Amino acid sequence: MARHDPRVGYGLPTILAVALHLAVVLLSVISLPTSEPEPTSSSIVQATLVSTETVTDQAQRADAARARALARQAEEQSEADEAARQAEEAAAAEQSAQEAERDAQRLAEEQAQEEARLAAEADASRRAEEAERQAQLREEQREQQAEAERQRQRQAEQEAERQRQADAEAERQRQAEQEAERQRQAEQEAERQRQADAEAERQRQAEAEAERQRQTEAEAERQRQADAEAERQRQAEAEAERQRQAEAEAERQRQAEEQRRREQEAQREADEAARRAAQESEAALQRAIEGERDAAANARQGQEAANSFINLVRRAVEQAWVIPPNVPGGATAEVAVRLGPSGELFGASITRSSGDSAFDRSAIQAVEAAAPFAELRQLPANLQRDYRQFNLRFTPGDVR
Amino acid sequence: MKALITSWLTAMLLMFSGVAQANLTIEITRGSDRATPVAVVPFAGGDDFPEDVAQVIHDNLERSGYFDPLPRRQMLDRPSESGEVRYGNWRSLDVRYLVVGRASREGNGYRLRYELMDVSGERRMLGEVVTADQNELRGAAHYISDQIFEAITGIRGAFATRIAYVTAQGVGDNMQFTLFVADADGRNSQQVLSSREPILSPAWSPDGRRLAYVSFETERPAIYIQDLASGQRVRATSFQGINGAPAWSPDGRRLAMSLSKDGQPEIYVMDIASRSFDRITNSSSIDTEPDWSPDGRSLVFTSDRSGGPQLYRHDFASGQQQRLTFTGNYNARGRFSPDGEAIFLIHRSSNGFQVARQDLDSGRLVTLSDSRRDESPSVSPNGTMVIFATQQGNSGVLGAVTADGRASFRLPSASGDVREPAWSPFLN
Repeated sequence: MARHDPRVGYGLPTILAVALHLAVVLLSVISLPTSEPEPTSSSIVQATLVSTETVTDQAQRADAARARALARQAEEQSEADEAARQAEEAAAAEQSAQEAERDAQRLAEEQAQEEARLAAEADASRRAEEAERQAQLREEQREQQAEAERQRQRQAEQEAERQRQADAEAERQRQAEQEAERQRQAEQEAERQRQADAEAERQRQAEAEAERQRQTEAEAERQRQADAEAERQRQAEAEAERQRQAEAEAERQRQAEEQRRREQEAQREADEAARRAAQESEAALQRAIEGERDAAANARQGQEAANSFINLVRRAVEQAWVIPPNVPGGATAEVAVRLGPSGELFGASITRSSGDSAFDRSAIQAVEAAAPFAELRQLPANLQRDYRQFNLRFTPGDVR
Repeated sequence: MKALITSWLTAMLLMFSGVAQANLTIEITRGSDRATPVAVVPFAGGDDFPEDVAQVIHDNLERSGYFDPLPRRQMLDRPSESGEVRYGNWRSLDVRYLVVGRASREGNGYRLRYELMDVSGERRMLGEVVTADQNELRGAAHYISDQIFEAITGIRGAFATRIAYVTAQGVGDNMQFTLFVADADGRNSQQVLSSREPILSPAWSPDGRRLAYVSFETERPAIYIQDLASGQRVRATSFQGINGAPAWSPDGRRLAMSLSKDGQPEIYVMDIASRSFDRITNSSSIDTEPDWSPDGRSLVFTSDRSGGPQLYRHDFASGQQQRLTFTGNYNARGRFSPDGEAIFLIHRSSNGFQVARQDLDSGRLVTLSDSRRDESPSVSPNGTMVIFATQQGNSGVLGAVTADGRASFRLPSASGDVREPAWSPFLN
């Protein structure tokens, strides 16, 4: 990320210069039709107005372009105020652009002073070209610098890689971050220098060289420190590992103890629960929490009792079901059944209609005729509640 | 630690299985296809009436094939209104629906109050007061039967409809043919026409006010249209040869028929107002017994163009004719079900000629009746019953079978040979 900063810094002036250039060219092109002075006769005011409008519009666009260029320049200036000491050419370009701006404004307002404007244009053009050349020059310098920077970066990365292999992971991370930080600082420094020494290229290269040298030395120093740190880290970790193993062993013993205690506890509670089971409505859930063996056994027993109950319900309802004639093929009705504690019918309602009222009613009647389902009382007490609500799906096989 | 996790998981498992139990669904796939047990308690106060209203209702429900009414002698008590009903009594008799009522005289007529109860649900489903003129007591009983039938089955009742049929008495030159119209239960018959020559193929107009039929009274068959209320009639066709099998279009403005005026019997459609004819079939074979689909867009008819008699369908829009029946070598006299989804017909199997139903979608043919010499099926307007002529001993009688073949019965026998029954449309 830090590597891209210089590019951005020089990109804007380049764009600015090109934009300015374009603006000037545009202005010179579009101003030609307006070179004839407008007659001041009031008899052709309308024609004049049209023409003026056209020209004004074009001038406004030129103004806008210039204004944008100006804005970008101002932006650039604000971004890099250390670069206030920028090349005089840039300042001159700005000044000339402002001058051109003023000229253009005058032109747009008065439609006179064409020569002065042309001169300003030529001047602006020349200065813009100059600025562009300067910008290109700076761009080349910047790229050379960036290449050198990338070179340093690669070295630094190789260095960091070696360190990473040597160091523990956390340490490596921190080291790399410090490295990156130093790098960024170094780059900022280089950047400042580059901006300050826009004209003194060779001097700045020398400084950059010195900077590389310093960097390399700092690198060597950091590596030495890092090696020493890594060694300390390894020792500390080995110590910590020994500590952890000891603690884990203690924890395992504690857990084993805990487990034995809890299992004995569970066993006691399971026995207790078995005695209580008959009175407890939530017994199944409680027992499940208290002991899995007990719960599994109960579930098996409960399932058998439940299956028996389901079969009793099915037989009773099927026996009571009188299927009406002319049932449409594929007719299915679902009935939700609610039972009282003794298996008496609290309610039977259609939850999914067959679309045939006679068929729906035959299903309801089958349930009503088959009720009460006193077999509910034969279920384990804890299951009775679960089976007081169920659905019946009526689907006739072959009726005929 | 591990034990704690295990017990926690077990608890969760049980909780989920508890949820599953709350949504437990038991599949019910077997049931009885017996008729639904009902009871019609004799109406209180109707002992000296000319008709036993409760018995008429009882018989109607029984004949529908849908219901199995409880014999009166098995009744534990005889409530006459819902407040008096002890549901436990009727539950113990496995009665699902109960009809109670009270009858009284009102002026020259009668006042009937009835209620229908769902016994297992202990709900009152229906209650109404019906008044009837002196001669309409049976009609009122049929009306009540219709209401009960519809309340329970969801299907409109057809007890208050009528049937037309022809009887033949005597032998040789002393034959006497009579066209009757009677209640759907065969009672209350009225003579429409009597002739020494044969009468055939009565057909009800869609409004139930007129009959078209074939009479040989002029020594040549002719098709007549007779108004039932006034007795007035007109001769519709009297061409050379056969003039037979009239069938009304659903809109009542046209008659399809079979005429042999151009050679073989062919199907024609006559516009009743203009007396203009459209020839529908054109083959060297016999084409007869047309019947209109309920939507009026096609005709079914019998043709022996493939050798033996089979049913074909003529589509008016396309003019195409398509063979419908392929089961066996004899299928004739097709009649559409009111919903247009099936055709009732006479099918010859190894057991003889029987009433059968063919589903038009699947093409599946199911034999309905168990007699051997059935003919002229006619469908009730609600599609639940088929009436037909059959032989009992040496004489013709009327039989009826439910549209699914579950129940069948004989109609009370009029004297002589009975043939050519035709069920009316709904009349109210």
